[in-house]
Amino acid sequence: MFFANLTLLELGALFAAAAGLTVALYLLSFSRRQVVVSTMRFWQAAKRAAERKRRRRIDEPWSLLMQLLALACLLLAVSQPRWGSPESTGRDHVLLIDTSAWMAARSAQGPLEGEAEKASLEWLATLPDEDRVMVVEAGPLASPKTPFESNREKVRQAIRAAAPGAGALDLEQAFGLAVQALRLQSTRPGEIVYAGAGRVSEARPETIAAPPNVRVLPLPEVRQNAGLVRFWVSRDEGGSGWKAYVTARNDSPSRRAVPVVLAMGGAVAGTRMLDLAPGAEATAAFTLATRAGAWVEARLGVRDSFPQDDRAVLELPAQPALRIAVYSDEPELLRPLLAADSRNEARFLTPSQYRADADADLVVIDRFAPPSPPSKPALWIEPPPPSSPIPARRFTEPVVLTGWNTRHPLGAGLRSRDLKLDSGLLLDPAEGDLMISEAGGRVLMAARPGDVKQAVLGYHPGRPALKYELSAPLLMAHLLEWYAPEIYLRREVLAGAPGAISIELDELTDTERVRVLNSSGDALPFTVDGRAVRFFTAGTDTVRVIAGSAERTLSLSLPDAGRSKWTPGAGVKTGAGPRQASAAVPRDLWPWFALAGAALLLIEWWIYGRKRARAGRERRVMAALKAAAVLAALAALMEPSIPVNETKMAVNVLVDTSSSVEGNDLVQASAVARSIQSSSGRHEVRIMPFARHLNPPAGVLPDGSSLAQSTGEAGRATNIEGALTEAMTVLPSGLVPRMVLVSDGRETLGSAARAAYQARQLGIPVDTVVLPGRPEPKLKLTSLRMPAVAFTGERIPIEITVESPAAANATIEILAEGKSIGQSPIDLTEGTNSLRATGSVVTPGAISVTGILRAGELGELRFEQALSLRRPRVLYMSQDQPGMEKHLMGVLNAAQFDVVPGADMRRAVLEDYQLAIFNNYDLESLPMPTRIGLERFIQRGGGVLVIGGEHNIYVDKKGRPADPLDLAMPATVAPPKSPEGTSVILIVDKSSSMEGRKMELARLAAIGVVENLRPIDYVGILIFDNSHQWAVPLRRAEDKNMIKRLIAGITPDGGTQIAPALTEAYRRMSTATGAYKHIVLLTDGISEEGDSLTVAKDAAERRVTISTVGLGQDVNRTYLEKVAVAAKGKSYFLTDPSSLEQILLKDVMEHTGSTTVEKTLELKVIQKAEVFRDVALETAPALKGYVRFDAKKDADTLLAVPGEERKDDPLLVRWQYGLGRAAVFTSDAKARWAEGWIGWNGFDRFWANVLRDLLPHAQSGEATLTHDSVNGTLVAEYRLAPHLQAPAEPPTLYLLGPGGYQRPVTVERAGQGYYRAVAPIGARQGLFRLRPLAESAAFPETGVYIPEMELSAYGNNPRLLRQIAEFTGGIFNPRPDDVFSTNGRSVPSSLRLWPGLLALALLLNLAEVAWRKLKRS
Amino acid sequence: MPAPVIERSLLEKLERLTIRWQKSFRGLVGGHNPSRYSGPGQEFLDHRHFHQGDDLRAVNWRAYMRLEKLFLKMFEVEPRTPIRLLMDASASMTAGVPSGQMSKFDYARRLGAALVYVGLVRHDTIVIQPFHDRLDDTMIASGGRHRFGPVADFLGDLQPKGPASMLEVARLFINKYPKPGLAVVISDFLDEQDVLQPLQYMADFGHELLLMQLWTDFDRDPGADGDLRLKDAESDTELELSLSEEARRAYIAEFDVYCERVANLAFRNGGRYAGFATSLALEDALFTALDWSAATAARRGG
Repeated sequence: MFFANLTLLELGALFAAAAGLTVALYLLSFSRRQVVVSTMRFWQAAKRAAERKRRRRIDEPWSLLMQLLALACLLLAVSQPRWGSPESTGRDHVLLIDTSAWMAARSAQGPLEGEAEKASLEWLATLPDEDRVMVVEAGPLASPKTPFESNREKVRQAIRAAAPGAGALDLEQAFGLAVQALRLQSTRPGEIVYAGAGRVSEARPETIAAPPNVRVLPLPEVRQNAGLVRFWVSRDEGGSGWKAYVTARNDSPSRRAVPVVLAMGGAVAGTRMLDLAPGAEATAAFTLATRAGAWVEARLGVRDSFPQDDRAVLELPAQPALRIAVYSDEPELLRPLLAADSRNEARFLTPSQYRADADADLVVIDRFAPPSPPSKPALWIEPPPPSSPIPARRFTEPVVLTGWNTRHPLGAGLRSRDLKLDSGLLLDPAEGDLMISEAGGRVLMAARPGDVKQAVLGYHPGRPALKYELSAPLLMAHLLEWYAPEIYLRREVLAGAPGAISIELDELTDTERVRVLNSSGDALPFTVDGRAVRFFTAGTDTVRVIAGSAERTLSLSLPDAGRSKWTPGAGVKTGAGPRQASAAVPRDLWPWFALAGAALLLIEWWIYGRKRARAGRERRVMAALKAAAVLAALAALMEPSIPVNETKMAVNVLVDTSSSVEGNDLVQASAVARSIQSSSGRHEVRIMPFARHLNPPAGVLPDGSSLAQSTGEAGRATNIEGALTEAMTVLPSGLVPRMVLVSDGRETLGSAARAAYQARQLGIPVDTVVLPGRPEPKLKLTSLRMPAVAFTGERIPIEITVESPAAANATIEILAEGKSIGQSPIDLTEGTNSLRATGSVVTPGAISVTGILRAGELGELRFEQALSLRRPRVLYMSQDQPGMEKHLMGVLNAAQFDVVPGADMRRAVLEDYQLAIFNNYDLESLPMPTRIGLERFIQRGGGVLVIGGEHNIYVDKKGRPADPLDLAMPATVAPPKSPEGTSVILIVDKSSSMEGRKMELARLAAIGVVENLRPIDYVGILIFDNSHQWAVPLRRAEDKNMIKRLIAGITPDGGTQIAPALTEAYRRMSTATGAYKHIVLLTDGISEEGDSLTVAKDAAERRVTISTVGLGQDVNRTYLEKVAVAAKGKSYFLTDPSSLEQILLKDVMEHTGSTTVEKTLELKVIQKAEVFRDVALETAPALKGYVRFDAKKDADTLLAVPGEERKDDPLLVRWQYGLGRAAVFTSDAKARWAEGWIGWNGFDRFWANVLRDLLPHAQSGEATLTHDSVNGTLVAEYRLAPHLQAPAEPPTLYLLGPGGYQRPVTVERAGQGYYRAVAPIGARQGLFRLRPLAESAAFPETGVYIPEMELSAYGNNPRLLRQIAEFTGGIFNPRPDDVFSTNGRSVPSSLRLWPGLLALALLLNLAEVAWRKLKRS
Repeated sequence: MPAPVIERSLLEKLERLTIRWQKSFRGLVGGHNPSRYSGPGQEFLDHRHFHQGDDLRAVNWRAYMRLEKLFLKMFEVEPRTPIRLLMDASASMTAGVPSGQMSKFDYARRLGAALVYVGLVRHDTIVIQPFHDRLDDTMIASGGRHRFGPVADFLGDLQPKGPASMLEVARLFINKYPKPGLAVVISDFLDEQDVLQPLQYMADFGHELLLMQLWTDFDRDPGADGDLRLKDAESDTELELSLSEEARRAYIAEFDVYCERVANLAFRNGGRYAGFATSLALEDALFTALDWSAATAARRGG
């Protein structure tokens, strides 16, 4: 159960209040009658008597209970409880019933109209009872006939009422309306059901985007038809007759011979036979010689399924003639000039016959002075000067005609000049007169406009000398047309179909002077798009389009059968479907509660209330109150309602928030909306922003706030039609509707004229407020260069060239999908400016990148282009322990790289990657095919980065063929300092104090050193206590296992005598080979110094280094240090022996010329490069080690560290190899050498830059998406890179466009490695993306941006807005108060009275109880 | 302005009546009542100018003949038995008024006026003495029926106020009027304190009591039942109770007992008592209730 009127909370609150009141009335003490008595004297006795009684009468508890029950029942009834679940309320469907002309066609089963009705009713029967249906008649106009209606009978009525009109179906608009209706009005959207034949007027029905929830009710196929497509009649040149053209088309599947009959006034005027192939059109031409008005009928002599389009009738207007009275002594001079046009009816009279009020439309006065000036328009030819209406004087010297006033229609097209005139008049025109021809600054011919038009020719155009000049007939034609323009209108009469109509204008026509009038003389709203005038009529009508000197009459009676058939796609549901079970419809329970409440009231009164009133008047009042309460409750059961004339208005304020409305316009628009909102009073006002679509209403606009501009794709169109029609559907019923449109009037989608038509039909006035619109920028974009493909996070360079009329400060802002990604100030100079801006985007996919150049008073310039962004894929190889790479991974992820940790290089397909990173990886271990592959990878544009580590080991490749990978890298691991190898002697203390762990660690350290020596190195281990002996005599470190065994055999024993052992070791070492000789002394005890220092000094001279390691506390520190310093070694003192191995190894490596250097290093910037942008290298902490690499000669060493002998070792080297790049960073990027770097705030930026720098800048393959505006298609071309495997089956691509447009596109193989796909988009504009379902290297996502009118048009279109307002009965630029003037309009509605009656019953009952309890007197 | 205290028609009927008393008061003569004490009586006091409406019989014609001016002889009026009309003007006189009826106070005013008129007609001098918990300003009515106007005005201007205290009033009365006379008390005798005792004092000081007790219908019978909150008109004491038939009967019985006691007091002291509800028409009260009481102890006059 649920409550339809009140919430449970409200019900509870109301009940609590009313029950509280009742209980209070029953209980509270002020229910006693207050009496002023003279004395209390006698009351004491009464009180004693009363007190016993009082306990027996706790004020009628049963009465109270019944009152409360009655109250509960009545309140429950008011809250309108319903049995059932509100969730079980059904879904909302939109039924689109085709009412296009074609629905009148007959199929084998009967008229399609009937079939559609049958199918619709069938479908309706399958619906569960709780579902609601909106019936929309879809013809050239989609007009809702019902709201979402649950009453099936009303739906059926609407279905039956649908009848075919004369226009073609505009299915797209109908779908759009249905989608919006479901979006804005429905809580549970259901299906959009289309019942119709699907005959649309679009040439490409496949571009109609069907919503996903469409169901189609199929109708029988009608195939036999041949019909008239066009029928037009135009005035024959010269005006003597008419030319008629009849175009017929054969829609039947077979060839047909179609007889065309043209009849005039019932009589056949001609017949033609057209032989038409299936789908072909042909035109038959006829000539009609008549000047009188007539009816012309074109008829096709065929029998087919759609007879409505076999006949059309046009009304030819009668051709009026211009009656000219020519008073001339030499009529022959003028006769040929006037006889040229059959519309001239000239009478030639002598001057003596002159009458001032001649029976003519024009009087020609040829070289004489009439006794009185004519009352009719007159043409004066060389009049005697005194009689000339324009002052004139005769010239005697020859005059040369030098020019014509070609800006005026009278002189238009007149070219002849330098006519030499011997005699004639020079005129002196007054202000307001038109100068037509001049002769050296003097006027030869002038015209005076006014009620009675006058023109004076200073010379005779029919003079023999001038007779053959072309100017004379043309001048005469112009003059006559000037006198009577209506007679010389070029007329055309066309038969057409109602709907959206587009008429091409002549080139010369001034579009500002176009008028479109319907048969009743009302101006229709229209838009001028280029040279096409577009307007809309939904029904049969006669429309006149008057543009300049031509008039076209359109008889819109020919039904439009639709040129093509829309077929639903594969996924669309068809047919009515099975009957769906209905959920239980919630049942109203309130009448029962009302009844129970009334009954309880009555019973309570009968038992208790009746007795309470003693006096007659009291009783009457109480009884009346009670009876009224019960009657009110009972009356509510009859559900009365009263008809009211609602004058409350519902005003939808539609505010244009498209991209063309910005800045001040938006503020102004918001202010208008706000002022309307604030002066709304009791009326309902909703502010609905719109651009491409209508957006949900904005709430109350606070002062100073402004509506937000619609961003992205949704804002890049202005769809006034959509906004108006959608706003019409959401106007609440029962209120007086009105709409206010606040816009710049620049519509880029839809036809506002059509919406105005619909608004007028629905009786909704549309007030329009015009915004100034964007000013046209004075800047001119001459070129734009921007990559079509880029990687995420990459800096995208945008180069533009702009012509600026003046120097100015400007800012350039780059936006991606409407969001700003960068802004920078720019100084514009006068003339051509080449500008460069960059921005980076981190989200992959095709996006539109917009640039806005704002230059203050010079306006702002926009440009837009599609950009495909891809995430670079990185192959990451490392031999580090897991977890070591986390810092680098963090950088990679933050920089939007797709990282693929490579487990097995041999199987990795390098072509899938843009970058390979080898972090502390033994490149020498890569097999040869992989090395070759890597080289190719770089050559073709891939990037390789090597980051140093101990696994970078030098391998001597002398004598071997060049390694391809080494060739590709900018630096290779440097050879160790000594090519001959080194000699290391470890002197290990084996005294008994070394017993245990120390010895163990010393052994391990020794083994570690041996492990890290190369086979060419020499190693020896001398052990000592009081004496010394060779545990491992100095030998090549070849048989490491054997050496390790020997080391394992060392056992501690004896005392400590260092000096002899040192001497022995030095002695042995001095005879050893090797460039580097190093002795490490390891001891934990105190010993005599002996001659150790001398030995050490000798050793230093002989380039033998000695390092000392003291273990534990009791070592002779000074001694050991001295030895080490003297022998250029290092001394270490350890209390904890566990780090012994590491130190020993490090020491040996450092002193034996290993490639790994571990010391604190300050880096040097060798070369300033783009990769260091925004990286503060000077703040970089020191590195703690690196691997020595040798940079190649051509490589760019960007960073270096100080190496040995004042020579720098490279730290960061890169170069270009082939199309790709390779780089080596010789230190590392983890917490070992780069420990300080990890916490450095430049770390991320540095690595992101280095990595991005390596990304390929050349496309591996080629994918382009281009717009074919002629066919309304997008063409995608894919040229696969040579290394890419051509797919066996090209994938299905998906085209995504603005406004939710999407469709699958099939790719076809058009050649070797060349694929092509064509996708229709119709006239859509905006950003289109084409991409496969899964990312594919061969078919990457591509995009194209088709410039939208929204962004390329400037200024506003007040005319359209004015037309809309006038046509719909609204006000143009209304004041806020004007919006709410109803002008007597009201909406009949009814007011539900039953809840009020129940509430009244409650109140009356309470009054009765109050009366009973309070006023008992 | 209050409405005329008494109608002309009623006044005309009152012409026939006489205020009588039963006691013979020592040292007093005159009036219409036979006195057991005889003596010369009227003693000249003073002259004063004649005013319109004065009794012509009192004009000193001799002085007129000498001075040709009308002088009125002023006599000691004392010889007449003083009649004092004690009007209860306490707040309780306005209480307990059923709708549509006049308050006890209004009734008392009318009744008082009627009595004064009767006295004036007989050239009695009547002291009108309103009281509540003390004695208010007095008015001495004398000089014949033509001087009734000021009396009516005086009574009309009276405003009931404050509580009544018969004890205090009796004390003051005895002090103020040492000569005994007829004390006509118009009151509801509903005082919070004892009323009977002060009245007894008055009687003991020689005053003859004519007690006229007034009550409204509600005073005697507060009605059938209902929850009541009672408020004393004079004090602010309140009492709540639900009145039942039984309680009502108890109330009425108590009331009647009280009236009986007031009446007994009057009779016991040789006075008279008349008690009636305000719903009784004034005329009926004057001609039946008063007459009746007069008939029991006094001769019926003219």
